[in-house]
Amino acid sequence: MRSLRISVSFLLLFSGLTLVGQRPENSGAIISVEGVVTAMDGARPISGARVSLLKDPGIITRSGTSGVDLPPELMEYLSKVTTTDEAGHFKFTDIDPKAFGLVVGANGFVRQQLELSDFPGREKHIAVRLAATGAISGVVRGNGSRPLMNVQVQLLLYVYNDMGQRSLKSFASTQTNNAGEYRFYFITPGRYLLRSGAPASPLRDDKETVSPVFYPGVEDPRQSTVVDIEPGMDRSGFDFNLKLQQTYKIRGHLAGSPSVDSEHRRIMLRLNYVPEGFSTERRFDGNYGHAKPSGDGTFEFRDLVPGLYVVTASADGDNEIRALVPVRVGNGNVENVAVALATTATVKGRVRVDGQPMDLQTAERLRFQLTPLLGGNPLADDDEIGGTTWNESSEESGEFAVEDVLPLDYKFQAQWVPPGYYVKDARFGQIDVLNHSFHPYGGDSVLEIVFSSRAGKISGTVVDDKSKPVRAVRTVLVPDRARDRVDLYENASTNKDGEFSFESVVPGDYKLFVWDSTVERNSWFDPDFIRRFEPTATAVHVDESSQQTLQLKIAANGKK
Amino acid sequence: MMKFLCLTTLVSFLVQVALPKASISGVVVREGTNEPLSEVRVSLYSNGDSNNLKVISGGDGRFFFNDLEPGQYKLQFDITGYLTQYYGERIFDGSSTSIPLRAGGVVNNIVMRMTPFSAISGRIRDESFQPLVGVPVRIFRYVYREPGRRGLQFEFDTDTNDRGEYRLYGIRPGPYYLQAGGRPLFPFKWTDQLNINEVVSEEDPVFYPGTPTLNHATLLEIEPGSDRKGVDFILVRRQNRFQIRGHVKGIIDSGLMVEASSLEPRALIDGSGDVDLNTGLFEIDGLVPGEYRLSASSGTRSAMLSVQLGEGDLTGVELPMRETGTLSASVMLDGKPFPPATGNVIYLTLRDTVTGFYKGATTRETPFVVESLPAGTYRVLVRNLPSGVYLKSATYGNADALNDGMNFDPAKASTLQLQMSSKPAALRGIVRNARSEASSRVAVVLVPDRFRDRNELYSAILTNEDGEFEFKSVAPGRYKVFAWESIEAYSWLDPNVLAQFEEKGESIQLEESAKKNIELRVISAEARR
Repeated sequence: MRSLRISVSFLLLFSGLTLVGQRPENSGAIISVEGVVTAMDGARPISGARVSLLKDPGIITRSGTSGVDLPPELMEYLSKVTTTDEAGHFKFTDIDPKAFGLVVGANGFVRQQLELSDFPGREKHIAVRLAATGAISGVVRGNGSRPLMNVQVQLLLYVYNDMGQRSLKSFASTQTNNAGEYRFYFITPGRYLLRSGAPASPLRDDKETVSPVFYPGVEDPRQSTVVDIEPGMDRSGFDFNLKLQQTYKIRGHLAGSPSVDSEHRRIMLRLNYVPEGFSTERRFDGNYGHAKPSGDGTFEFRDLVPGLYVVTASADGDNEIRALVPVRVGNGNVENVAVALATTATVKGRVRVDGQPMDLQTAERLRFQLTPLLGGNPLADDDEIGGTTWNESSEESGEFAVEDVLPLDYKFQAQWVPPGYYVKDARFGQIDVLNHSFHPYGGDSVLEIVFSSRAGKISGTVVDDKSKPVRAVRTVLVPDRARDRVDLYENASTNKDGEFSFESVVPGDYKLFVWDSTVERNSWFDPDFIRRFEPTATAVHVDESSQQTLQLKIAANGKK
Repeated sequence: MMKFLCLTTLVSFLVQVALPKASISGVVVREGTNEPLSEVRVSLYSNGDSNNLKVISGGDGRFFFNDLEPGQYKLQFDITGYLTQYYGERIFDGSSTSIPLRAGGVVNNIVMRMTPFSAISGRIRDESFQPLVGVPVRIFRYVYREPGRRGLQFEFDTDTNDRGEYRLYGIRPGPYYLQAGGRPLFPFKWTDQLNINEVVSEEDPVFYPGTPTLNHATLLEIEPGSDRKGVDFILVRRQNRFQIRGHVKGIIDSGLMVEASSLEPRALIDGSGDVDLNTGLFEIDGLVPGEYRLSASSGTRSAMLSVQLGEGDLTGVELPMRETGTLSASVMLDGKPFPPATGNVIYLTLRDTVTGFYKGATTRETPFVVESLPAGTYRVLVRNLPSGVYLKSATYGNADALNDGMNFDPAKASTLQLQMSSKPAALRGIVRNARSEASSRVAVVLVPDRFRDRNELYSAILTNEDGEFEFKSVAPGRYKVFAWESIEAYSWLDPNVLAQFEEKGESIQLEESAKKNIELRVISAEARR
């Protein structure tokens, strides 16, 4: 079903390109852009479609066709907007030659983005075909028949994050009305999961607690029925029958070194819920509140549905005393949770460079990141959770320190490695931290990082079947082995001359993939996705200090 | 044997004396139909204790709390689809009746009537009957607010879906206006997850059934538990725009502008126009029908006027520039300067009887003056008087500024003299129902017999658990006293509401320092219907 999603987006991009055949050959300053917006069949004009001319390429690169990062309103704020007439026609005159792209949206259709540089010429006549969106609806009931109101319903899809984790992301979220009804509309065709439960807002009349489940009523997303949204589809009957949930408590006490005990008064506890299938990274589903331990160090969180929670503790405005404890609530209260407060530790490290010494200028952004793991999953980018710790390397001494480390397992990663270099080896005592997690707290070992100045280089050009360079396609280097090593992946978009380059490739065997710009970010971390395209990829062997130049072909239909 | 029996009786008696437990029970029913409500969460709060006990009402709507310590208790009732209410909550939101429990006391006659929420639904379409997607639809409750004017209180909103449908639910019964279109409160929907494929358009806001002005809107009376369907609108993408034209009278400085600010709720269409230096003419374009406040100000002069723009240009508006000046006020208590040492800060508000514009000052600032006050006639309002003190008179020049209004002319400035007296009247009493039982938590309202536009003469209080009330500091004069079991707060300031009850009020004359007692018969909740 992911393939459906991808192929649909291919179709969209290249439906725009099919008319390129008639484009004028000269590439002088643009004076106007006009076109016709139709439904996918090309026959039915869409009137009242909103066409936005984008002035700044930065807008698109941050959003992407499948991305939902930038609100359409904001995007349109940064652009010139018009509306199609009865015949689906639109026209922009006197436009800035630097204008970058068009965004075409109409209710009932998938929003589409076109790059104007794909249509060189003085006058641009563009045919835009929009795919229809879908809709689904249903009723959420509780304990058999009673409709439940203000219950959250989410439409989710799987995505991969920068850490290579597969997790669910919300495409849309709504809540039931007082008849228990919900409706999702204008859905981009694709494969989705539906999830319902948990009150949507504590502000209104939702006093009932329901455990969130995936459609048609399972806790594990892997057992959920996948909902295929097809163009133009409007299906009802995706009903949920939720069990009104008895709620439970987590009770526990602060533990830790005697010096920490005196700090009880300053400790704040926070509880977060980690729903099944969702990433432990960044955003938890809900903040289930704060608690202040009582004088004897005990605490309590109430009204909890079963599931995985994370209790974090920190002293008021102080990063040095912290704790992070995962707690699973089953069908009963959880008692005696010991939250072991620890004074955070500092892990020391040393950098050695094999070959040319590193230039201070180029190493300016180099960072070492220690990411705590929760049940094997990285818990990234949430400083409050006590996770991410960065530290700049100290070039002159070759020593560095990572502060605020907790007694947890960590994953190591070097980021912003200067061009031409790669991490050849990284060890904490005997542990190879490039390939294994490690527990740095309490040990007196030192993180030993060895950089090599002999990284490989790959550069190249992507051309179409007429040997013309293709801009804005995504080239991705995927390691042959150790595909769980996110740091070995490289990706780059081609420039206007179809060129791409990777400056710091770790020696080894790779496959080089080319996708059009609609490829979903990080989808290359998905083994199924990679497997499907693997036969089309180019095998690349990279030796130390090697330099190679490649030419890759991409067909106009988007398939290499 | 006899001795032994006596002893056990004595022991059990002693045990009972030592631990006499009390109980509270009752039944929860739906307001109107009186059908029992099950699964209602009933919370019992002990006064001075934030913890509560919770029970769920049974299939017969009954609930029980046993083994209670003596004390004062409050009950809260809560179930999805109904207004969350305290027992005895009337008139003012959140006010509740405490239930006193003696040791071993049994209160078993609680009847709680739960008010069901209502719903309103419909479709919003454009002129060609196409559904309009993502249009905000909001409801305003038409409430009485101090000082007695009815106004709109925003309740909540929703958006239409892809079929142009909306559904507002969780609505308390009452009078409402419905409005659709206009800018959403947050232009970027950060609060809700946005749909990337949705194209949101912006229509001028209209009230149901399709008017930009509140004057022509339909007031929807929402009954408890009702589900009102088919409240449909047609929205015009851009309504007809009109002009307000007129001229500014008086001395005109260069660069003077007239600004028109819409007084309609959520209307964001305002405008302004330059004033011609020679002719005083001004024009403001692009306005939709509705009520506007025109204002202009320059140096020591200002102008203010409320106008109604209908379906057509409004011409010939005259906007007189008025001089502004400083009004000094003085406060005397029993003929002597008011001692600020009492700690009370007195608030003075002057309200323009024509434009509604108001300005104020407090005795916190010295001197006690109102600055930049335009010439005009004002109503004098004084609030936050110390206990046991009332406003006896307000004179401006030789005029009775309290009852006749204050004519302020900056050229002939005088001092507003506020005379306080420490000899107010007091009124206490008890309210009983038709069965001569004391009525607790009913609203007792003192309404002046004359000068009914003087809001400060009205007083309202709730009776205590024994049906008693006391007004400690009343301005002497003739009043009518009402005791309502149920009435919308502040609606007694509306002459139309009062007219329905006039003969049920008890007339009373209160002289200076008088202390009177009165017994009132409660006006039952059914009396209005």
